[in-house]
Amino acid sequence: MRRMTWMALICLAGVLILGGGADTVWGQQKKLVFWTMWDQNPEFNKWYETRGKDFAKKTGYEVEVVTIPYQGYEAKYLASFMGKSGAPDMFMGMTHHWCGQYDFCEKMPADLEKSWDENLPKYMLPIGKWSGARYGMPIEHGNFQQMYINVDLFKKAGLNPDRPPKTLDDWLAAMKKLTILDAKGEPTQVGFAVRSKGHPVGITDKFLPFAHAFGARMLSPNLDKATGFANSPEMVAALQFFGDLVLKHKVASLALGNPEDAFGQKRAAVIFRESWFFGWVKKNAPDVNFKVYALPCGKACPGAGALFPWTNLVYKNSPNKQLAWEFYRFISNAKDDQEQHQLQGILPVWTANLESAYVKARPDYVSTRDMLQQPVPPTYFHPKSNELATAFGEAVVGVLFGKGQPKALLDEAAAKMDRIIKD
Amino acid sequence: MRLRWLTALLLACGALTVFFPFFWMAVTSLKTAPEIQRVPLRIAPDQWMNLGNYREVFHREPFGRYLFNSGLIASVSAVSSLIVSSLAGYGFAKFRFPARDAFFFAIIGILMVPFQSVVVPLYLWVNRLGFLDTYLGILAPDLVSVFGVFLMRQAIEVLPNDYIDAARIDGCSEFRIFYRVILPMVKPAMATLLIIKFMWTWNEFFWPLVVVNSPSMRVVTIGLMSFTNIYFIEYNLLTAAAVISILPILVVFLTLQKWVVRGVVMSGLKG
Repeated sequence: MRRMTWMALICLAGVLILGGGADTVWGQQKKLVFWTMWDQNPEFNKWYETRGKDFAKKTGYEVEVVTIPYQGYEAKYLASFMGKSGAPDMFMGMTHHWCGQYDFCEKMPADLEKSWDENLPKYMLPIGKWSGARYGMPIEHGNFQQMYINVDLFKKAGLNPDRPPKTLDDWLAAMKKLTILDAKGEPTQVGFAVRSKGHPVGITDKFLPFAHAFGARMLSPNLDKATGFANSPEMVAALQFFGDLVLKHKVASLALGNPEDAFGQKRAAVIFRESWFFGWVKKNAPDVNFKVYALPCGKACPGAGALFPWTNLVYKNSPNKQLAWEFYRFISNAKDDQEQHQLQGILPVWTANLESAYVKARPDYVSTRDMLQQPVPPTYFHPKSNELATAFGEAVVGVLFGKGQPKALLDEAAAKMDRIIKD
Repeated sequence: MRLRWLTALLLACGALTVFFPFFWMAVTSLKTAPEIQRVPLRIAPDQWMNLGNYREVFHREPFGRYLFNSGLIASVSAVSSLIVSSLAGYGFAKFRFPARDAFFFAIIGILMVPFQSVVVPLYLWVNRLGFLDTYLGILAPDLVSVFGVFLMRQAIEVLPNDYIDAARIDGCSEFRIFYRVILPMVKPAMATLLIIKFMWTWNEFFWPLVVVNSPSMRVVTIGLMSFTNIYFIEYNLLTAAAVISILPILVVFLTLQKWVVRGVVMSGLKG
């Protein structure tokens, strides 16, 4: 019995010491390691490895993709970048964070920068840049909100689903028609699926199209001031309008929970979400008959803007950084762009592909095109954008839940944001 | 009689409240994605034998490997913590040495340091030792337990010194006293520590996420996160994976229920 115990302990020690060594990526000379946290796009990620095999024929280096769960990825990135030797050669992230707030990125070579600058849609040009220099390759087009409408609910309310509201006034009128109240005056079906829960950054993201439609902006153009912008009269009016959707007009409800679920359950007729959302609807709510349109305009049009501009970057301390750029150069062309994105069913990035047969066949082709025709909205690619958006989002949440007036809450948020910028 | 019925009713309500989320999770794991979205909400799945989500979980992620990794790491960390904590607890409880109490409270003070604040330096150490992406790397911070030291010290401190003195008079070595006299008397505390530490390590997410890269080295908690992403949660798959992931803990709990209850009472913590 005692001998068995010792044997078991020796085996266990062997497993612990040897285990995990076989798959270790560190120290392998012939692999470029790429980290991503886009776990919703496995085919897209796998494509790097597939193409890496072709790259290996030229250079001897393959590509290994490590997909990291989104929850907690920042801590992992930070620890490994500081640890240097445990870090990847290439990674996906937001340029203004990893190259701005921290200094972990290698600048893009001039020829590659030129190539990307010449081939991106206009609104994407600032994405991947920090302090005027390009570090990252933008990888996500369509990461701006569009208007998804439930065709059947529109028809039932006497609205024409082929003629969606183009202005915020018309949109509000339509939302009222689409809302059904019970005997107590509480909505059982709402016009608009509002985001009111979760992280304030996400809530800010969903509110910004309204702010931009009112001609407001969250920060000054050079991103060094919030007061006078985050609490401008236009922003106050936008937040008043947004809060009124819930509190006054009752065309949106906090009781319906997750807005995507509310739309999928046909309890909300309209939702503003990004390009990825139609894939979700098809999978989770296949009986929802929907169409996608450009967002309605107010004083201004919201335009194609993103708070989360995802890019591919190169780690500046990687011993393989030249090869990493070589790999990026290898895949920086319209054909690869189309192939990789199509494989996953998402929008390609290069302008040349925006009129391809694949894109034209998509339900969001026209809406995306229309959104791109709207003026480019303000961008907020500040190194502390998450903290700033959190402070701002808390004001939005406060209004939605009736905890204060827009002006007072925005004044408070703007002061807090200024402190964050100064710190 | 009436009071007994009332107590039973209250207990039943409490039990139902605790049980229902697990039941809900289990039935959701048998539903398709559109079924989950359906309104009005229905508790029962369309097909009770729909195991598609479970198949998809194993197809998409090497969940068997994750279970093995979690089981191995939780077991080793529990045993290692038990050994170290028992020895340290015995030292702190029964030996007099300079600054003993200062050392003890310094160790206890570690409980107040949030793990997030030490993760980067810890990562750098593990990296320097070449333990990244290995079992030893995942285990490193879990091989000892501050809580365990506290628990064992409390358990050993109340034992009468007469036993130890008697053993010494009989010529017993110090280690033999620990092994033959002390440990048999603190078995409940040992079992408590073993179970609680196993559960804590099993549920750990943050450190394994930081230190592991290869899919084959991932643990169950990281596997669970594979079904959530930036944009949405795949509830059908997540619940199926969650059901799979709680099964080993459930077995441990049901087998050692008596000790778990005692552990909760002793430690004043939820398991």
